[in-house]
Amino acid sequence: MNVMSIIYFIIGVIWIFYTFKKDKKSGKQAIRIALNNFLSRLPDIFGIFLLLGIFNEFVPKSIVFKYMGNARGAMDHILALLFGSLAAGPPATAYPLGEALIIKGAAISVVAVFLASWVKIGFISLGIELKSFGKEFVIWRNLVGMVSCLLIGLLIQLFYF
Amino acid sequence: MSPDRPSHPIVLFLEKTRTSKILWIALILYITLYFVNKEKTLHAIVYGLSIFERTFLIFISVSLFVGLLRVWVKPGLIKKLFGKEAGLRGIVTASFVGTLIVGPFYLIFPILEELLSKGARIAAVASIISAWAIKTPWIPYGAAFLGWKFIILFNGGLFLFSLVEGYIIELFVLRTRKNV
Repeated sequence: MNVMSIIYFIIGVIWIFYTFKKDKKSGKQAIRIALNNFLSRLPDIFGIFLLLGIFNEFVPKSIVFKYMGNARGAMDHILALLFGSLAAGPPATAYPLGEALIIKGAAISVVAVFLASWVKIGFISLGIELKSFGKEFVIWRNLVGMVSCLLIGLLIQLFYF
Repeated sequence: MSPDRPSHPIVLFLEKTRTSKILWIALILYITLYFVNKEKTLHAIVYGLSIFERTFLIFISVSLFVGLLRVWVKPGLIKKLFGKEAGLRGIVTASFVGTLIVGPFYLIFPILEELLSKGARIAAVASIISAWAIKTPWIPYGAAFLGWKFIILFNGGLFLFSLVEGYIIELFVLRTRKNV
């Protein structure tokens, strides 16, 4: 529970009260839409959290080290892209992992690709993305996003020294 | 599945639970894994619930904002901010908005759907999602591990690409839709 989410919540609640004060009918409508939205998404979102639990527990982080501990070649960047897209979780986990990989001898550009795809692409949540935006959008967003992740690796390779 | 349809929220919830593939896949996996490794499966549930707890307020807030947007924001405003007529400025605004969003992105999708239905262009929504990868509140934390130089290059790159990505994604999506 970080500060930002508490701020979000307080803004939302105050705004709802303000809406009620201004116009009771609009306030009720906003609450009804919010409740419907919340309840209709709850099963999928809960499913995602359960899957994240399995992922965290049954896919050991040592796999990442085993395959990317000394990664520097072109194929290693692709592998980093796949690992990053599969991985899910808060950036709090990603950054320490990135540092550990650099210490282990992975190239900085490989770590950049890994972190970029970690924050940009989420295979686990593709299902929810599909429901919201449809096939065309999801396919292109993820493909273009993956290319960007590789380009970020290149950017770091060129300018970080 | 319009949320405006006057079906009872509980009915809606039960129907969504019945048809949620993600939830059923997760449950089947849990039952299977329980027989493989009881202890790890229980840990997995605890971990899953802990993320749920950590993001619960964001989840509620996003739902509130969807309701508030529907009531307050007129399509004209969204068109002006994020529509075709907003041009490059609309995309830049979108990227900035993206950097300010916190929380897992599958939680914010409904807000983006709302923007699309109110006249935002695809490029703007795509740019918001791309720029969302920049976790502004986490930047100092990241720098503590990887150094400021890396973090600035990394996030600067993410921001610049988010501007371009919006346009490219929109172009491809519209082209694919035309051909289908």
